[in-house]
Amino acid sequence: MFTEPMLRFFAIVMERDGEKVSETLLGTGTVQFISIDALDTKAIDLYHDNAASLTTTSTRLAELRKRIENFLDSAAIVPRIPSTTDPAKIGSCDIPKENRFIDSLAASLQEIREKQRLLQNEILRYEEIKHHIDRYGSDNYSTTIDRNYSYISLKQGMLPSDAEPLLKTQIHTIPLVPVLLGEKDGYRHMLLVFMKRDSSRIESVLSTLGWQDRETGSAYATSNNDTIAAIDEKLDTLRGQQREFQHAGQAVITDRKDILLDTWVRIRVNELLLNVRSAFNRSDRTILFSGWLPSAQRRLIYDSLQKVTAGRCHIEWFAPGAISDLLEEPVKVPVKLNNPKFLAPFQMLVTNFGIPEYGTIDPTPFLVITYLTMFGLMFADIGHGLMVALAGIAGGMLLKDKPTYRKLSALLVWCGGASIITGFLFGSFFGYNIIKPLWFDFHGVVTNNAHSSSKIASIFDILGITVRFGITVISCGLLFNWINLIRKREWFELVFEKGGFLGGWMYWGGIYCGWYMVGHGYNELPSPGTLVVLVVVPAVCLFFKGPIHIIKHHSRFTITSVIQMVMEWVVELLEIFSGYLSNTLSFMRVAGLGIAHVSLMASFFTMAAMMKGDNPSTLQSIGAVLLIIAGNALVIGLEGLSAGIQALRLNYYEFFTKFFLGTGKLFNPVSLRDNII
Amino acid sequence: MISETYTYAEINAKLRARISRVLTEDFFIHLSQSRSLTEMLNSFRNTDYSEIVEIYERTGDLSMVELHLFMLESSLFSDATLRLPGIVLPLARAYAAGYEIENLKNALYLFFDHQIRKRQIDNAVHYLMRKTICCPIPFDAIIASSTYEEVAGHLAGTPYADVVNQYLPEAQSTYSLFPVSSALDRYYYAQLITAARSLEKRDRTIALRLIGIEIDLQNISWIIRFRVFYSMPFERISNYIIPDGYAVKFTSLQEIYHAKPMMANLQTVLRKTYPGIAMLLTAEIDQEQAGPALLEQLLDRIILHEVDRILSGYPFTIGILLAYFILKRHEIRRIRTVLNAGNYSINPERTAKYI
Repeated sequence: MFTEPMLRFFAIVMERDGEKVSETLLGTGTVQFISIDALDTKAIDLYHDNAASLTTTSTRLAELRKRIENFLDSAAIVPRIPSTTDPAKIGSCDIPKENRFIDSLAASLQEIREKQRLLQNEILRYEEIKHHIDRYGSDNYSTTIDRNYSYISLKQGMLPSDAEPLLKTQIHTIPLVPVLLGEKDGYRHMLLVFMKRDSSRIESVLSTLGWQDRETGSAYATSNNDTIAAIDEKLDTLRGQQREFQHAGQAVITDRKDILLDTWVRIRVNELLLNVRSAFNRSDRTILFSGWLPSAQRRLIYDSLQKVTAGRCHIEWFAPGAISDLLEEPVKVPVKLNNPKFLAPFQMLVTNFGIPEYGTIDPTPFLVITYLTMFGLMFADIGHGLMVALAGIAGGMLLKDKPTYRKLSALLVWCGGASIITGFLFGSFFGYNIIKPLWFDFHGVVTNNAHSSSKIASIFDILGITVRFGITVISCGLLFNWINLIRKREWFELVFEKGGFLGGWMYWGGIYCGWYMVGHGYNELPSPGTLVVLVVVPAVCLFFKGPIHIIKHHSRFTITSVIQMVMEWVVELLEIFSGYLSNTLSFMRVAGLGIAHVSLMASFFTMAAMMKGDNPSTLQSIGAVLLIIAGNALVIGLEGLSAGIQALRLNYYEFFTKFFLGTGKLFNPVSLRDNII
Repeated sequence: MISETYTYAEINAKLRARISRVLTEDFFIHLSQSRSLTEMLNSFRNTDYSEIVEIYERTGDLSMVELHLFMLESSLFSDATLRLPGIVLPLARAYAAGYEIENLKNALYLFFDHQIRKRQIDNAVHYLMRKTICCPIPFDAIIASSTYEEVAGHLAGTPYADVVNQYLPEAQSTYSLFPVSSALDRYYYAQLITAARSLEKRDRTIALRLIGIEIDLQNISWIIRFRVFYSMPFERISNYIIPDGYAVKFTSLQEIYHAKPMMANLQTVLRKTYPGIAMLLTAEIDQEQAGPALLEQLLDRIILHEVDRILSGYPFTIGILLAYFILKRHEIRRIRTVLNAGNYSINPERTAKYI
């Protein structure tokens, strides 16, 4: 329920044990190191901070690691430190050597890319020829288009049959499309298509091979299709080669995957070890370091350090309060939230809002209840919930490597489950009322078809449920605030804060008055005596907030300060009344969205019924079914999103703001499980 | 007020979300430190530019990547997913036409290199964008033309025919395409100004200010380049000055041209005309030898300063749209610069300076 209790420790070990100690501390992964500079004692002066000297190495390691990640990412490989890794067995990292390895990898890839570039150039030239033939034609007889604007050349003639292979080898670097027109007397009649700019080179090669020009319009003819087919064939070959190069590029990484991953692990562990060592303050013979850790890990750290240093280690433990007393100022204790793994999606929602202060209530378990209840009430349908849950399961399977998306997928499964449960409560399955509702018939109430014996018979009854729910949530928020303030020993705030005793007194007093009025047909207030006790007394008490504050801080009463106090009192009263009223009524949106959900489905059913008519044809029936499917899809998409957002909004702004400051700082130990990607 | 909110509410939300995805300064610093082009390109894998990684892995051709980036940039203004409000469409079209003009200028230069200078253009031809932006232009025919007259003939019926026809004789006589290129730029800015003037008052003021600043910066850039690199007399440069600048008057341009040292005077003029950016004018441009890239960088900072101003101001104006376009254009150009630096193995410190 609360954030995990923490301890701060100071340890002193022998210099010679430094490496082993850092490996052990990293292996345990439970310490968040902090600087000991704050302790301004002469003894500390004997120690020097070695963080600066390690920074350069650390930066170079980080750069190298990022280079490897860059390559691994191109092959969609996500590196992780294996859980069995022992930092003591990893060994050091030769940064220049590893950089040379990565450089060689980059060079190999660059070499392949250069070959691809040349090939691409050839592809582009053939594509250009094709483009010009498409545009201006190569048909020697029929073309009437003025070819002046084209920059391809056409040449028709005869080549000795045995010279054709020579032609291919001698001009293989020039884009040339030979189209065979026929063969006779040991000669091949051909049409050659090439760029005008390559004419002189091609002419000189042809002259050495015994080429004989023929006038266009001779016995053989060709069409654009023949030429284009020849170009397409060539392009297919070139593109095939390009794909092979692309695969070769990928293979450069995948073939070295194991080496890259091993190197990455070595670099990462060394980086983390440096991180640990940078927290060490060294003298000639000893090392002094300090950090925070969860109280429950105290024994683990003690035993590990004693073991690795063979008892040459002295550790002192301090509770956060003792440290505050020592430093004579409040100390910022890191916060560790201690929730089961299956609540990770909800913890994500909490940390997205802020980190609770140390020692205060962690709202994660309560968020599970409030968020899912709100979502379920707004999106109550067994079928729709099933779809959302299935989407979550699919997302979780597809996005295994992306922690945030995995958590979001898990949240979808939770939300889907909540919808299924409320679907059973209200008896709704894909908008159909085919299951007997366990609680009441939501559809019937909204569409005015509710059973007369039902206790919930109108939309006002539904609104009433959500208002009651809102009052419960806000009351919990106030209660949590009091618990937090008591734990923090902030007595003044406990009484006078908006969410303190007086605020709660006025809130519940107001609720009673409201209930009384509703119960008496909206035309009767509680007795004056009750009103005075419930509203006037706390309001008057609140007026003393200002004077007590002045006395507490040894300030002086002046005319200005008195006027200011009165003004602040009036404003605070207005804030309390209007704020709590709007906070409570805000929960009616839960009913609103639930009603919208039902109304939308009802609309689609009406439209489908209108489409079918009295004697529907097959087509009309199919159309109606399709309409209902589309309507369900739309409702799942739109309403699901709205319900998710509104539930989050209500929790963040109506619930969390009552007790949750979000000013804590998350506990971040140096650990092998440190997720940096 | 209500109609402005109605017009820009959706696009404002959409663009602010997109602006939040613009690549950060840290990303570019990290990018410039990459030790190979392959690593540099891999860094884009999880960004909005992942397509360029795929193109490079498929072709190994950085020019294909650059062509893709140019196409991305040119489609910014015609992006159908943005569903631009009707009121801004003429201005968006005028901006988009800028890329068509850029493409036309490239085609004209290819013609000029091939037919007039008799140079090889084989490699460059493949990387010309063939996509139609505003009107169909026969780029291949222009490149394959053998005379200026043929070029003019191919442009008949396009909005650029008159401009090109008017300046082709000068290009022919000076053996340079610059008069045509500069005339096309002036035409582009004139179209932008016309489109901006058709907007409502608040939008008009913002658009004219931004376009005017771009014109100022373009004029300053030309003045410096022509004097430092080509020693062109001011009288000749003055023919190419684009009108309708925002704050830098003709006389200021004259002052910059004649001042010694030129860069120091440029600083004075910029401080006077754009007081808000005085702090951006660091010592680096004090040197007369400040290269064109450094100058471009400085001018870029001025326009980005304007974007910051717009983004922190009243949200429901055309400003958000123009700010988005400028930021994306800047981002794409930075990517191009850094990739080229990687291709030519320019050291990271130098690259970082120019992006």
